[in-house]
Amino acid sequence: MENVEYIPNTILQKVISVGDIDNYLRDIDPYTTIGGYIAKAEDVKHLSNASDVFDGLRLDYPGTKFTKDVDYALIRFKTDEVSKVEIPYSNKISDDPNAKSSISYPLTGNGFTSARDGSLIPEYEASSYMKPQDGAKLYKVVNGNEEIIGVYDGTLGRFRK
Amino acid sequence: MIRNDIYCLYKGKEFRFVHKVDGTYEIVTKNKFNIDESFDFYQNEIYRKQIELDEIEDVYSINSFAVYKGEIFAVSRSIGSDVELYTSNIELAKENNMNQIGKSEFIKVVSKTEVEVFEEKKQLNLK
Repeated sequence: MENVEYIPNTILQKVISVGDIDNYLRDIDPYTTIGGYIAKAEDVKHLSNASDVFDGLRLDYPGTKFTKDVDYALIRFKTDEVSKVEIPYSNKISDDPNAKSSISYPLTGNGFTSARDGSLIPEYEASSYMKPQDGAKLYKVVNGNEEIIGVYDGTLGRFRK
Repeated sequence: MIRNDIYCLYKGKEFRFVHKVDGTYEIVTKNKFNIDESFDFYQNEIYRKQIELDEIEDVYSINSFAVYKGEIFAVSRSIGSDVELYTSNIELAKENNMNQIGKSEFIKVVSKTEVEVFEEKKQLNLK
């Protein structure tokens, strides 16, 4: 995967299912880091409801917990581990030594989601778990309305309600 | 101990490194032997001290990985006597009967006795 030209103050966004909220807020053994597919918040600000997010980020992968009409959650965060933010290229279109061989539709491997409305939404992947900066926010999105349900306490090293 | 965090060296000792939302920096530890009177008690046995970047010698991330059945997985967290393995590799996930939690994200909880955990350290440039 190719590293990204990236400014540390960039706000990133990770969509998670409502069912995974507890993994970040639970008292015992919570998730304290962020991994997987992410986007720059400014690139996805037009995705404001479950249907938009589902189609725009192509969350219709096999085994998905998301649907077009189910609420979701998201984390908006900055990170100091900028070198871990990479473009998840397929080795079919990139000779990058870290390009992936195991990408299958709806993943594209070209650096963009295959958004159903044809818009170009860049997507990124954390090469390993990233620590959010203090103040990262966890939102539950119900009927398109965002509600803050957790804030990352950097000193404590976890999200708190 | 499973570590996925940012650390730094301050006066030769390792501390967790925190970039606060107001732009300041802290070093944090639960180890009372690493602190002096300049540290404040926070909560949950955590002590903290505000520092300037110039005061620390090194900043680096540490991520935990595990060898499980001959393959390498990230370790997302420790759960009691188990660890949660993570991969974004679909083939590897299928081979190991892992549960999908997100877009090309797969996990599996296994006993710590089934894995060999190791850490990877990467330098960070914040200055």
